[in-house]
Amino acid sequence: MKKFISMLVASLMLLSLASCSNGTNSSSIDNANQKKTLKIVAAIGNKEDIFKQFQNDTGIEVEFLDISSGEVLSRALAQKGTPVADVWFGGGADGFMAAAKEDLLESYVSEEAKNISDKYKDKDGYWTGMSIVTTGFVVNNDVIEEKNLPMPTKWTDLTNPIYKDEILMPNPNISGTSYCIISSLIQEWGEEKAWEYLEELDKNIPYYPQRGGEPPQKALAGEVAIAISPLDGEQIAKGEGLNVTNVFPEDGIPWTVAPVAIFKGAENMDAAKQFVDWVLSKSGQETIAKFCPRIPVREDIEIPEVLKDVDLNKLLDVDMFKAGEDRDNILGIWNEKIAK
Amino acid sequence: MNKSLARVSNSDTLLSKIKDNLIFIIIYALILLFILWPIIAVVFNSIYVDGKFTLDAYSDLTFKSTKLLYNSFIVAFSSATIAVVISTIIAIYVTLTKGHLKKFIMVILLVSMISPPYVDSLSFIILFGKRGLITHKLLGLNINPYGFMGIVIMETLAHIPRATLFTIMAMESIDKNIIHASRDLGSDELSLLRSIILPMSKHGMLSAFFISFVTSLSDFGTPIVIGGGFNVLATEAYVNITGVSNIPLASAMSIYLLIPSLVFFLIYRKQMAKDQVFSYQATNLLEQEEEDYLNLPNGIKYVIKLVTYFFMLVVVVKYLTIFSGSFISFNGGNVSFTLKYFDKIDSAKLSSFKRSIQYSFVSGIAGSVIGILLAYGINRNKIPGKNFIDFVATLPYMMPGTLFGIAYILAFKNPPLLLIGTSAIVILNCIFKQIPISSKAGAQALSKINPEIENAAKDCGASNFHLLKDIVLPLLTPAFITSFINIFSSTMVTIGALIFLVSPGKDVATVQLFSAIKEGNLGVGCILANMIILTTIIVNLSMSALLKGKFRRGEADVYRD
Repeated sequence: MKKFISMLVASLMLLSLASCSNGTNSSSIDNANQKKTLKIVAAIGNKEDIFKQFQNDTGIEVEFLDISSGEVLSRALAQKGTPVADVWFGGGADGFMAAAKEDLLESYVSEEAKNISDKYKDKDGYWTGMSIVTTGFVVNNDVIEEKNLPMPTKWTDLTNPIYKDEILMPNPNISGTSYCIISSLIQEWGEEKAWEYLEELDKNIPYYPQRGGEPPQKALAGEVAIAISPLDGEQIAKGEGLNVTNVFPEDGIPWTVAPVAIFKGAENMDAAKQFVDWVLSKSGQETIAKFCPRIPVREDIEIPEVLKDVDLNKLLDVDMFKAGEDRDNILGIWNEKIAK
Repeated sequence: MNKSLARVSNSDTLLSKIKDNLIFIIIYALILLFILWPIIAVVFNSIYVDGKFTLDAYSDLTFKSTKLLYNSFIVAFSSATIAVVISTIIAIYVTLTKGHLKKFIMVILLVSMISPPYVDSLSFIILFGKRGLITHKLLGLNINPYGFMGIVIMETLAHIPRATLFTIMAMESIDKNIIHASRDLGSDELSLLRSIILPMSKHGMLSAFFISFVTSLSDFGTPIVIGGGFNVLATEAYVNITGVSNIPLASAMSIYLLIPSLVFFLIYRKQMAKDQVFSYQATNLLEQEEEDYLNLPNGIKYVIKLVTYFFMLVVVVKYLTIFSGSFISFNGGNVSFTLKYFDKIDSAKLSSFKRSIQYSFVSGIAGSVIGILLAYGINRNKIPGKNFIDFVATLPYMMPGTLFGIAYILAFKNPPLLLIGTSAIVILNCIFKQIPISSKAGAQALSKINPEIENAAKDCGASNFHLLKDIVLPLLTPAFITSFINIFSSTMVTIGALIFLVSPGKDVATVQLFSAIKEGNLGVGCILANMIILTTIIVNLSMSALLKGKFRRGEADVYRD
C-alpha cells in the first residue's frame, strides 16, 4: 500500500511536470501558427463584432486581449523591447501619447489618414484617432424625482449645493475622461475660472472613484443621481430600459479621441498596417460606428443614430496635444487643491 | 595532521550532504529564481530609472502613503482578527461538538473559498448597497455601505473559509489521548477547551491569522469596488500601475507595504517555533468518535451555533445572488428574468475557461508538492538560511498581485530567462504566487507530527528521499489536499497578475469576467463566475475524495501490518 501512495505522489509530480512542459510546447507551436494571426490589445465595446467584420473583409484572423490602456502602457514599459501585441486599439489618448514619447510605437501614416483632421491624429504618425469620445452626465431620473432635484443641463449647474453628495466623477489621475474634462474646461474658461469651478464642484462630490466605470454604474443603479462620464453609444446602450437621462452639457462638450496604433517591433507588421488602413477606411469606420457608436473622425461618415441629437457645435474647440503636454502640471495642481 | 585525508573526508561529507539534500536544494533554488529574482527585478527597476540611480520613487512615499499604509494596516488587522475568531468558533462546531449539517458546512466552506473577483463585491452592492434589494427595497433603509466597514466585512467573509479550514485541520490533529487524559484527571469541558484545545490549535489559528493579514494588506480589488472614498496602499499601488503607469512608484509602495507584513512574519515565526506539542499518533483522526465531542455549557453552545449558522446564511445568500445573476437582471433595483446573457458566452470565453482549468490544475499539484517539500525543508531540515527562504516564500502573498505580474515581466524578459508570451510564465506565476498557502499548510500539519517518527526512519537507514516519499508525504496527505484545494481555487479566481502575462487570444476566464464587468455586463460576469464556481467545486471534491480514499486505505494498511 505504501508503494501505491508513493507511486501516486511520484505520478502526480510527473504529471505536473509533464503538464508544465506541455504548456510551453503548445505555446511555442501556437507562436509559430500565430504568424498569420493579428494580435490586438483592445479597450472598446463590442470588439468581437468589429474584428469579425475585419476578418470578413480582409481574411486576416484576429486574436485579442481586453485590457485597459493604463495596463497596456505599464506592460509595454515593463517589457520594453518585446511588443505587447501587434496593434493597440482604443482606450485613452493619454496612454498613446505617453507610449509614443517612450518610443514604444511604430510610426505609420495610413493612406486613409488624409481624410482625418490633424486635430485627431499624432503629427508623426505614431497613432491616429479612430473615433471621438464625447463626455457628459448620466442622470438617474428616479433619484432626481425622489429627491426633488432639478435636471442638470450645464456644467455650471453642477455646483448648485442642492446636488451635495449626488455627483461622482472618476479620479483624473487614473481616468483619461476626467482629465480630458478638466483640461478642456481650463482651455475653454481660462485657468482662474476653471479652478474656481472645480473647487466649487468638489463640494458636491463625496469622493473620486479609482475606476473610470464606477460613476456611470452607480448612477444607473441609483446609488447617486449624477455621474460625470464618457457619453458614447456604448454608455447610452447600458442605460436602455432604465429611467435614465443622458445629458450633453449645453455649455460645451469636452471630448477626446480613441486612437489606433502599431507597436514597435510588431511581429505581423503588414497585417497591422492593413488593420489600421481598414479601421480608418470608410467601411471600417462604418463598422465601428455600427458596433461602438461614437462621433466619427471622418466627415464622410454619418453620425450614428443614438448620437443624432448631439449638437456638434457644442463640441469644445480644444487642443488635445496641449492637454497632453500640460498633464503633469494640471494634475499636480488638482492633487494639491482638490484631491482628498 | 593528515591534510589530504581531512580534505577527502570533508568533501565526502559535503558531497553526500548535497546529494542527500538535493531535493531541498532544488526547491530552494526554485524559490529564489521564481520569487526572489522577480522581486529584485522590481526593486532594481524602482531605483534605476532611465539608466540612472535614483531614490525619487521612495522619496515620493510621503505623508499620504503613510496614511494609506495605516489604513491598510487597520483593515488587515481588523478583518484578520474577526475572521480568526469566527473561524475558531466554526471550527469548534465542526470538529468538537455534536451538531447537524456538518457535511453541509464543509461543502459551504469549500464553496465560499471560491470567490470570483468583483462579482462577490458587486453582489454585496446588489443586496446591501444604497439601492440594495435587502437594505433599500426590503427594509426601506438608505444606508451607505461603502468605506471602512464595507471593506472589513467583505474581507472578513473572504478570509473565513480558509482560516476555518486551517483551524479545523489543527483541531482534528490534536491527539485524542490528550483529551481523554485530561478528562481522566478531572478537567471540566470548558477548561478542556481553554487550556488544551485552543492552545493546541494555536498554530493553525496563527497561520490563519497570518495568511488573512497579508492577503488583506495586498488586496486591492475589494477596496476599489466598495471602498468609497476609503483608500488603502494596495489600491494606490494598483492605480499607479493601471492608471498612470508609474511602475517605480508602485514598486516603492509595495515595498513599503512589506513592513507590517515583515513584522508579523517575525512574530509568526517566533510563535511557531515555541510550544510544540506533538501527537504520538502517526495519522490524523479524520473521523471523530462520539465520546471525543465536548459537552460545553448551553450558553456557549448556542453562541457557537448562532455564529456558525449566521455565517452559513450569509454565504448561501451571497452565492444565490451570484447564481441568480446569470438569468435575472438586477439593474437599478428592478428585478426581471432574462436569458439574454447566455447568448454572450462564445467560444473565446469557453476556451479561456478551459485554459483557466488547465493552469489551475497544474498550479494546484506543482504548488502543493513544492510548498510541502519547502515546509519540510524549513521546519525539519537544518539547512542554513532557512528562515530567509521561508520569508522569501511568503513574499508573493504580501505584495499586490499586479506588481507580482509586472515583476515576472521584468525578470523574464531577457534571455536566458526569456519567458514572456508563453503559457509557462502564466503557470509559474500562479504556482509561486500560491506557495505561501501550501507551505503554511504543510508547516501547520508538520507541527503536529512527532519528529521521532522521522528520526526512527533515519535510524533505520532511510535516505532523505525515502523519508519524504514513504513517511512525510503520506502523513501530509491532508495538508496536500488542503493546499491543492486552496491553490486550485485561488488560481481559478486570480486576476491581478495575469492581465500582464496572458497574450491576446490566450486569456483566462477571470480576464473575460473582468471585461464583462467593465462593460457593465454583470449578467455575463455572473455566468462566468458560476462556471468557475461549479468547476472548482467538482475538481476540489473529486481530488479530495481521491486522495482521502487512497489515504484511508493506506492507513488501514499500516494498522494491519
